[in-house]
Amino acid sequence: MPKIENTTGMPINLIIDELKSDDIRKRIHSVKNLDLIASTIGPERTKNELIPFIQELLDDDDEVLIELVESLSKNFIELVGGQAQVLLPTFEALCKVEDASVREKAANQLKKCFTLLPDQKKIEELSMGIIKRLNDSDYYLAKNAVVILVPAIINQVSQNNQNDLINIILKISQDQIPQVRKFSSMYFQDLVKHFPIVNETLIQNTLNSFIKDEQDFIRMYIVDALIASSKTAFFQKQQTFVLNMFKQLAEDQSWRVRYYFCDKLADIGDSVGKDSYRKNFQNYHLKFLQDSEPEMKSIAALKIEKVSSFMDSEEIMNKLIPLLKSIQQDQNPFVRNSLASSVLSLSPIIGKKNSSEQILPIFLTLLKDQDSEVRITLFKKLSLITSVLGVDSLSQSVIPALTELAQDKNWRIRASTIEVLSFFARAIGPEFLSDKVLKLLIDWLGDKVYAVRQTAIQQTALLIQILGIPWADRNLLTKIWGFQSIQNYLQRLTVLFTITQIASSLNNDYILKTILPLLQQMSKDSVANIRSNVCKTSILLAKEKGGNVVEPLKKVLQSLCDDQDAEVKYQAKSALESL
Amino acid sequence: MSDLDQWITKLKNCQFLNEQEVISLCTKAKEILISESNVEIVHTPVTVCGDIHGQFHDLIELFKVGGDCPDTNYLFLGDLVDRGFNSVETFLLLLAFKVRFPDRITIIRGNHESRQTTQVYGFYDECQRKYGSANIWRHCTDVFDYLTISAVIENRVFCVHGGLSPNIVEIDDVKSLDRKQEVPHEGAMCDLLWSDPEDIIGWGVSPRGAGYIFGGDITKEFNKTNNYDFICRAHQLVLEGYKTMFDDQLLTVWSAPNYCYRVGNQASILELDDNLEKRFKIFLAANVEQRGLIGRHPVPDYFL
Repeated sequence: MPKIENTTGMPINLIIDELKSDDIRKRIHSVKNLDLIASTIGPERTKNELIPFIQELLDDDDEVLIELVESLSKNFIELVGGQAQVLLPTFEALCKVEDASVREKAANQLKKCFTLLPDQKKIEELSMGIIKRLNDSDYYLAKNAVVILVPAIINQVSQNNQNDLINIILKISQDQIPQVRKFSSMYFQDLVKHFPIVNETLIQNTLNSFIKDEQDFIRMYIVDALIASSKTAFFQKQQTFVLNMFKQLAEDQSWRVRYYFCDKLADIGDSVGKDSYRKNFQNYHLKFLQDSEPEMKSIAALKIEKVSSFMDSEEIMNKLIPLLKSIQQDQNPFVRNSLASSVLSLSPIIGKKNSSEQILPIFLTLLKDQDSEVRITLFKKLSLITSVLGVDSLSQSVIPALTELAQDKNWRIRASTIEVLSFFARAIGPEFLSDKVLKLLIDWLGDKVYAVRQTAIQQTALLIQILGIPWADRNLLTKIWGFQSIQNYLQRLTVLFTITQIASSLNNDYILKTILPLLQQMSKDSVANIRSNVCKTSILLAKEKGGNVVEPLKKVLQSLCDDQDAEVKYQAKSALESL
Repeated sequence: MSDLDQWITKLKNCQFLNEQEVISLCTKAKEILISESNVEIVHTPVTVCGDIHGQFHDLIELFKVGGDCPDTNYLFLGDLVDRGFNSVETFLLLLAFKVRFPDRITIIRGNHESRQTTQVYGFYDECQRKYGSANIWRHCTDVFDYLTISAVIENRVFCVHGGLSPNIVEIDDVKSLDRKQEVPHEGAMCDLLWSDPEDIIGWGVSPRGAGYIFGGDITKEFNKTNNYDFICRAHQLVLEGYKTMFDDQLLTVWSAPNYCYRVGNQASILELDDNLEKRFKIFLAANVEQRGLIGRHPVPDYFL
């Protein structure tokens, strides 16, 4: 039994009272704490008083109902002493509200309660009652819950009841109202799993009626039902039926249906098997890459990564890759972006020689794309091609692209580019960090946008961890220390932020020799913000490094204890106190 | 100190404080603001920011571009509340910064920092929604009365929210005002918060119904009399984020990108470095992901 602690700052009685408050905000707050109330008053009173009271809340605002179903979903079954039955009427009522998310949650909670009822007979009796009442309700949206509940219990009830349930589903699937038919289409995949209780004829007839439906969002969900059916014996018996229906969906007039089909290609391939995929569906994917709708080209390009595992190397080379050449120049940036995110996954499959001849050119074209989002997406998948072609061979061709991105107008692009550069530097080592590349890094450390400078500092620290201080000092740090004489204080701060970030890589000798004079110099800076940060950096170094740097750093702090600026004084004094 | 640091952390996550905490913060703020002059002295280096109007996530974006407080010094030219969805969090965060780091941030009063305006343009309603009563609004508007109404940077740049007043010739005229009151309907204090520059000669009637419009001659005269390089103000939406007028004698800074989540404008901040060199930094509105606004309510079924 969970005992919940009252952290609201209000007494329980007040929370209970506010369930009836006129102020919706207060009602919501109380409803959010229903589990607290239940835990405090105990299971008996929760069963006998709280639950009946909640019935009265049921025609409240949608906002309250959303919180209510959320609250009841938490651990209410435990809070009523394990007697799930008690909650059924409340959840049944919540299946009839306007808000779809509340209906669905409530229906799923009913499913959960069913599994916790004491015996089969009870389950059958109560669930059939609820389903029939919801189905017969005047409120047509209540059928939403019916299609969720029927698959949950159909395999646990008598033959007669099964027939009743099947008839209910049949009627819903032919309902006049499109929304209602949509419910049955969406959840038909759950029913199909119960083949052969749900027999062949039923499945075929229902799917046939769905596919002739004039609403595309009803036809769409057939894809899921077919995928589900392939995991049952139905598939063995009716393979042709299933495959033909898949094909109809792939050729559907509505791009929404084709899109949904394409989106599920990986699952389809998994369910029918590699050979069947290649025989029946591979060509559709290739067709989608040439579809007139940019959405279709985009989803097809996105799926390359997943479906490439079904294709063999020859087919990728001869059929897929030629199509990519036109996609890389597509007018629509979303299409090119999708390509950028998945094309590199082909490299490991087709091997080094083919990658070099076929993928590398596409890579280099996308690298120069006019849309910086495309370039960044490409970079995020870099390791897929570097693992095949080797980091070294790519590094040279990548540098011009990096240089351009480093100056992009969008600061987020500039920040992402730093991470890419860091990736190469860490993989290749100091040879990658030529003068040209180092200059990029220094420029980023002096970027006009604070967030870019911060990213540069962090990545520099990472690099230094790997490449070591002696290298860093020769090639990088001396230049950074030089920032201390820049006129703009925001740039001077970079010196102190850098020291803080690389502290773990520094040894005490270096600190005494190089860092300390810097700190001493900057402690006399005319701008108080610099002096504040000298305090912060000094105390950090003193604590992290200890030993012979502590005393000199203490002296720096002491010199700032009488600073004219109140914040600097405070920082210096509290730093010394903490030592 | 640690209370303040906790509040700052909470507010940075766009979580508003509870009623007790707000009252405590407002009390502390008044103690600090009461001793500020009508013409607050500000030193370089400092970054000047225009209207924010409750666009909290764009304020966070501003800090990403300009640097965090207190490492960067800031001067906000008012209009922190109204119109945006998060006036409460915006105002309280900047107020908390002011109390914790009084020498690192200065806040000037804008025409929206007033009881009348906030009842019409959103701050009052937001307080009601978030706190269930008008208490917090009352405490905040009391703090507004204490905010200073102008600042001067290194005796060379005059900063005010709106513009000039026919009743203000010398800077001492500002010092002699009594600012600790609701923004009046007319008079010098009202003008400073409501006026706009315009390509005219002399003074004119303002279409806003408060303050005046004033021309380049007035501006240059004021700057000459008081020995200022230029006037820095906000108050008017600028699509490019900033605008200079009258041979750089007046500057408008606007820091609310995509104003009202609709206009699609850029925003800017003005960085003045140690030697009063000017640098404008332009920035755009924060992305949807940064705003953390995923609709909780699914589209009603009949839209299918």
